[in-house]
Amino acid sequence: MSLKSYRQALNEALRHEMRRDERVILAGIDIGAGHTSAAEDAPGDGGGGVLGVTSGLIQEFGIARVIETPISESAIIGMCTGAACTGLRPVADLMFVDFLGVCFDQIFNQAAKLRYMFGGKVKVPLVIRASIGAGMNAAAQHSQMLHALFTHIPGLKVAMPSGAYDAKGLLIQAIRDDDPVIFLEHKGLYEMREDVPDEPYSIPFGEANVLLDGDDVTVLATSKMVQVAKLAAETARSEGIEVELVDPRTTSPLDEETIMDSVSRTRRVVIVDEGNPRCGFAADLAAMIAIRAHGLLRAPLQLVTAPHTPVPFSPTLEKAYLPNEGKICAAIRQVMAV
Amino acid sequence: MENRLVMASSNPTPLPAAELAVAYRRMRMIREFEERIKLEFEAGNIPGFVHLYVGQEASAVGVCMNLRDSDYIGSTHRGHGHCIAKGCDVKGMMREIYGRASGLCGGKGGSMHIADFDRGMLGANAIVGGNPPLVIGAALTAKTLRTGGVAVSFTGDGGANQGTTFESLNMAVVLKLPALFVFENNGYGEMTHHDYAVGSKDLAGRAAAFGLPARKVDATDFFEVFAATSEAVRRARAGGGPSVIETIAKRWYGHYTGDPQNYRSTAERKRLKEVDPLVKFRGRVLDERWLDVDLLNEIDGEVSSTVNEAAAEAAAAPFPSESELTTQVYGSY
Amino acid sequence: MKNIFPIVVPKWGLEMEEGRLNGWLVEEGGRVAKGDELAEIETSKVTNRLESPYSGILRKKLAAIDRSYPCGTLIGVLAEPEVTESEIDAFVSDYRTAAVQRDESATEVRSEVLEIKGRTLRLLQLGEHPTRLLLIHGFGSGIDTWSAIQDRLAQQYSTLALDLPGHGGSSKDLAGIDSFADLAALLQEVVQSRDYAPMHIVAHSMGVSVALALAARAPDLVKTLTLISPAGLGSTPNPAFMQCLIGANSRKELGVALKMLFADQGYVTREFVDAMLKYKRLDGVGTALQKYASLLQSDSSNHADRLRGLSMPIQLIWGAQDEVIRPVEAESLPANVGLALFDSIGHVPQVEASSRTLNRILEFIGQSDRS
Repeated sequence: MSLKSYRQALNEALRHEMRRDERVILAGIDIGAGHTSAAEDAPGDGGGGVLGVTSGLIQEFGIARVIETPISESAIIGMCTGAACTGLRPVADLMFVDFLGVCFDQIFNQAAKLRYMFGGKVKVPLVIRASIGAGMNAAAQHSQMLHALFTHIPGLKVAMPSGAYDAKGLLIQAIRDDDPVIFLEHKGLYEMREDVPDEPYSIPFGEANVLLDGDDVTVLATSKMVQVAKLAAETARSEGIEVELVDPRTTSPLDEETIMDSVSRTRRVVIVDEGNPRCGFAADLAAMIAIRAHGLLRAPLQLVTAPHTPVPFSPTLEKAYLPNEGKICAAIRQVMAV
Repeated sequence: MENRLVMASSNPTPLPAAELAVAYRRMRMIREFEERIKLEFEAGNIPGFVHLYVGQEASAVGVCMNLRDSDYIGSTHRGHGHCIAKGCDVKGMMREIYGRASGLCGGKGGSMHIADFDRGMLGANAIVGGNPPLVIGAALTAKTLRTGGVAVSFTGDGGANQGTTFESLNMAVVLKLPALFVFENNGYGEMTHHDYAVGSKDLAGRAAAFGLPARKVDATDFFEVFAATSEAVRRARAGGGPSVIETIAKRWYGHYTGDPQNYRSTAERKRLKEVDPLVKFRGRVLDERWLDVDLLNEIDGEVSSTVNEAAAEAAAAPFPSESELTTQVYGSY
Repeated sequence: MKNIFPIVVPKWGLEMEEGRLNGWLVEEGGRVAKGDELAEIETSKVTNRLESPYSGILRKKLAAIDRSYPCGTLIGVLAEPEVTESEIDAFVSDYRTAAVQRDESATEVRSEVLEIKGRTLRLLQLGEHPTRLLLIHGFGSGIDTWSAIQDRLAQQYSTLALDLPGHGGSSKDLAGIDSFADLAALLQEVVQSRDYAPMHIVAHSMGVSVALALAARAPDLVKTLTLISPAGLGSTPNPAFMQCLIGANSRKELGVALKMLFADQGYVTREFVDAMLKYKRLDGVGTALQKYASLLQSDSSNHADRLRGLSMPIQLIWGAQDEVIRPVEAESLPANVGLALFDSIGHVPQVEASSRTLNRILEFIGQSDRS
């Protein structure tokens, strides 16, 4: 056990699983070391992907298992889907979730549906990793969340680790899972450090994490917003408000039981999600709670999300776009004021 | 049956007689199966849509006679022919098309999603251009696990224009995958003629520019298709990478059953049936004395009975129960 | 536990690490109501009045004026008059040592890893004295179970605590371990390789089964046995507890199991449940625990006979309210084996009543060393 970054934790997860099971392969753009020439067996000196998560893996596992591809997302994701149906356990690197547009058919029509359409005769043990989220001035086409789109599709599972410990355990679980998993890593969390065991471990899907116990208000948050909500909870505590902070960890499957346990006790809810509001994940949670906690809530639900706009470039605008500690605290006070 | 297969022949057969008989049986099965589906569909007994392969039998069978059960193929919405050519269970297929619980996919896929992984059939794919990426995935598995297997993608002239097709060609070349892309050019992508939609007007030529060997063959000639495929499969198994074969075919019926085909002239539609791949095959094997006519007729009779049985059984088979609606979405949830 | 309330240095804001006690606003023996001002505390940012989170009499002041203490340090105790002084003292002692237990990184920093016979074992060796003491934990536990007492034992003894295979920081694969005798053989190798024998052994729960096996096979190595909440002496562990602990997959389920360990459920903190959950998720732990559970099933035997067969001094420490392994009748023990039964204490006395446990150990070992 030692302090490791989210990025390192992910790297360890990939390494453990690739050592444990030779059917686990990686495919994606620049995930190895780059190619300095046409020679297929002469990988360059690069460091493991644009985001550095796959660093060192091509050196250990070779080009047959860490496959660098041309920029062809449809072919990459489709190839990994076909390989998953026929005996491999691929981890495809989509780099930025915003690129789902150029390979969405492979994800939602092929990978998600093959098991069902073929009457259970095939399994698709595929993981698609992608980075999500704003706050790095990466502008509209490199900053989205889009987890709501995937959560909506039957046949897909969706995991969104909010810290390094969860990242390693959830990625190991994703690779061992026999269903297609969309694994979403927040760009703003790659440097975040936490105590992470050296040994491999897996965190089951559909198990929410309760980071803080409190009796006054339930705050549900996802991905990086969990860390922001934590800060807001500290401020709330100094104002005498005890927050119960719940991180679903996986949006599909969803741990409704833990969420409803908390909600039925506190009876006040704030939902924090970095996605856009229409048909978003916050709206999905709100609907579930409204239906299941009808009559129990002491105050209207408070949702803290991004607005219905693309992600702006200019830093002042991006700051205004994102949910932050202040907005969350305001929502907490609002829900307590009733 | 054995006696009939040992005959004096003028030329060496490209295939042992027993396999020639299998090839004929499968082509005849495709023909009878599809014609029966057309009848039943027009009678209102089949839900959804169907896309028939009639007229293209030699293309599917010519390719698939080169493949093992463990080699994979991917197909299109017009997938019945490839399925039968790969040896899938015909009765299971019929029940699937009728949407019955005992269909190959439990009634959950239907005509456009027929699959049988035990026979290496990765599935008919309703998305045009949907199968090439999956097929190169199967090829990647074969290469990674060193099974010596190959994977074959069947795509039409319509699907040949999809981005996924181009990406898959390039990816297969770059990663040197044991894949074969068969472009079945039947002249029409849905209702648009190939001459209009394919800018280069030459599918094989265009594919060759991606850096892989590409050949054109006559889809109505089983032996031409078979020979070209043998070469490509041999190359792939030996680690020589992917190839393209363009088979020039004629699709006898419309894009989908019920299609009024207003985009085809009457004269054209009349000309279509002038070259029948089954007639061509029969002529050749009889001339060369590779098989005898009684055997061929016997096969015709057996196929006919099988199709009749399949249709009758499918019509009587139970539908899936409502509890099946929510099963097999995931392995575990 | 009766109503005894801790007053601690508060954490006012994320960055506050410690606070200085400028002065008390209430005398010892004075009554406060919830919300009354108790003390003035100064931080790097602000000076503020600490409001009492509870009502009661300020029974003890534990902090000195003008000294700084880290956030969370116990600086006072509130209780009603009927609570006795010794109960207050015990509370203070237990609270302080439990606080040390919460500081996990202490173990991390000081422990070492030993490669032996194809597996890794994590060890914590503290203290350098002529007499040696070996600490063996129980099912699903680890070195940390001793954290309330190992440091203090180390003031007089060379102490060695280890994580058994399948536990803590040791490797999780149990290949080649099919009996407690196998574990005893492994321990024997460890202690002999470090020139650690002869030694006193303090063992807890399942660790007792290991200790008994070691004492049986190598009696010359063992000076005395202190057996806490012992397994392997006729009383089989509560099957509900075992099943619950092994099968629990969620916090909720695990919480149910862990609550069976203590008479005072306050010991089942979120950190404790979290640490257990994280341990259980590690690859190989599930299988290891199943194996140990089946070893425990087959290890019960007539305890009186087992104890009679050993010649070194033996004492038993047991919580009267142990729901996991019920205490045996004192009358059923051989005459020379003492049983210290702690009232209102559950299965883990070394945590729930650490001072009393420590004192019993020191007294017993001290006596034996003198004779």
